[in-house]
Amino acid sequence: MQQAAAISDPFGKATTGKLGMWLFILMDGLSFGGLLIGGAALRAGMDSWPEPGQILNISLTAFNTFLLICTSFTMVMALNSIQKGDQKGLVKFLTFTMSGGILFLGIQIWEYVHFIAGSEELMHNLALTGFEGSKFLPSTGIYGAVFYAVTGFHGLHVLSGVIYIAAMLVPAKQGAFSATNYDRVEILGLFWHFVDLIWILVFTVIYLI
Amino acid sequence: MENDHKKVYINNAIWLTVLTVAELGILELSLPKSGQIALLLALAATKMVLVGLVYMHLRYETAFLRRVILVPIPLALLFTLSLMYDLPYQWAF
Repeated sequence: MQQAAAISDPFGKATTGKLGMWLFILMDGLSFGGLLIGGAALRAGMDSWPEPGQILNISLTAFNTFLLICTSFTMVMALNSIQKGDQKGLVKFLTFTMSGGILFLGIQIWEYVHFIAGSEELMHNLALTGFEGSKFLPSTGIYGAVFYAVTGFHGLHVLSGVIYIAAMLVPAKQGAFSATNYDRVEILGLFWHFVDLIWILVFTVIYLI
Repeated sequence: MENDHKKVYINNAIWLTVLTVAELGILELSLPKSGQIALLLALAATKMVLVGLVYMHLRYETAFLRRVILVPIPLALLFTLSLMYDLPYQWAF
């Protein structure tokens, strides 16, 4: 397949597919913006809000943040490889990226299970912040609702990204991409980097502030 | 953009990691809450710009495309701040 026709003039070499992904990213970014700003507005109306680390595990999530940074690097290296015509490098780095995404999701699921199963330590921490019970659920006040809505929405994006990479690994292994035909890899990369970019904001707003 | 930018990508990953560690360090500082929030948001914005410019290759795109993508962000913030005036209003049904 030939590289998609480039749009000339103001958009330079950007292809229609790439512009379409940018448009999607803008719209999706505004969806995240709506959730985060809605959360902030709800928080502003609360008398108290848990301090960072009181309920959420910051160290574990910081590791997850580092993990997503690493996957962004491996994703851009996948594109770098195919731009040089290195198909093995493309498959290798896409596999690393997908594995990192799966690990990220695994850690997030472990965190959810820990909260939903509950524990005495969690009950103690929840009590310190004015919540009752031993479980941290989406129904645990506005705080629980905001946490699960934002991180769950982002987790769905990571899952979509993992499926997207898996789908692109098939043609990559069949040698469908080359140094002159890598548009679809670049578009996939844009989506994955967006997922990383949004996590940077989610990590700061939900976990650190 | 066709060239090998491996070093740039590695340096960017290092900077992103350093900034993430700096964010965790800010939590340990005895600053007023508003100062902490301002610093954390500034670091997050820096990290987002680094991802956008380097990994998403915005630095290699045309100025027009960069504007198309970046201009809506401050506009969205402006509209949001405008709507914030509604927050204290109590709706009665």
